[in-house]
Amino acid sequence: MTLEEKIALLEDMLELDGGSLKPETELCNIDEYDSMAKLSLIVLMDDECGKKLTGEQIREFKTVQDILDFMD
Amino acid sequence: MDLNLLCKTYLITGAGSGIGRETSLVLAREGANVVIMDINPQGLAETASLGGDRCHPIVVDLTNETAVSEVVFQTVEKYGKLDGLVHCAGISSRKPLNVLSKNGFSKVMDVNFYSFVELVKQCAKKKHINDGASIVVMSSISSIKGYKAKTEYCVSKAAVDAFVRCMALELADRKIRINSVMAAEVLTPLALKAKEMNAAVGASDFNAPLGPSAPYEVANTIAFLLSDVTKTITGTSILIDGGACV
Repeated sequence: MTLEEKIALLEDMLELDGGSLKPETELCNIDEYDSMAKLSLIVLMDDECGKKLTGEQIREFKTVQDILDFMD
Repeated sequence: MDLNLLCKTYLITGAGSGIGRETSLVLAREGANVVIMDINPQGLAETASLGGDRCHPIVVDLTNETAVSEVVFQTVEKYGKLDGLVHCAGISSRKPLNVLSKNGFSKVMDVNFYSFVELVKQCAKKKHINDGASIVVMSSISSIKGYKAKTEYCVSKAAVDAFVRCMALELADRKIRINSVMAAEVLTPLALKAKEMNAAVGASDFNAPLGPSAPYEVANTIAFLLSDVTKTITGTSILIDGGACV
């Protein structure tokens, strides 16, 4: 998956317009990144990347880049 | 109160941990023969070790209909007709609307609902179960309450309770009773894992005035429902929720 595809996947999950997210975007500044979005992220990582996301890992995510790194 | 479970034979699913394990141990202490099933061989071996000679472990994937049929047949061949069934096996799910899918529903329904249907279908055959037997399934207050991101789980438990009510009527002629136990938060490994995840993402938990239940409380209620002291309780759901539904 390319960088653009990964970002598009996250934007789609958060129902954001295309181009809204940048790798350096801080998650705490995204209103849509709430508890439900975090649960969606867990499912998305499993379905799209085959990776299990733990609660501890979610706590450590600070920027979009952190999520992109996890998707690698 | 004498539950009169001595030498009776029960099948228990999800016996490798939590409520299934606790129920197996309670029934074994009461002198029943318990055929304990789980997909996890390690957990099952631990339960068998704790339960002693009365516990007979069988590793089985309940989503495999052929395997379920064989286990029921083998159990009756070896230990005689069943006096009851306890279905504790289940999986949890936390998924908001935007990630719900038919596949996801199928996975949860296969374990939480369809496996129970298949078990009851096999166990309820006249050659497999005694008249007057009792069937108990673990449900949840999620069957009657709504929770954010728990659709798959809530639907599966609501299906279980609807099935219980229908079967209560179909099996009544043979005096076979069937009931569910609606729990809220029970201190099992599965629940503790869910609690940890809820805390990490900031999602809400059960909010029971009396707090969470211990597995032995649920197991004791299951033993009560299996026993002869409750010959007319059928087609219902017993709440053990610490007051969460009040």
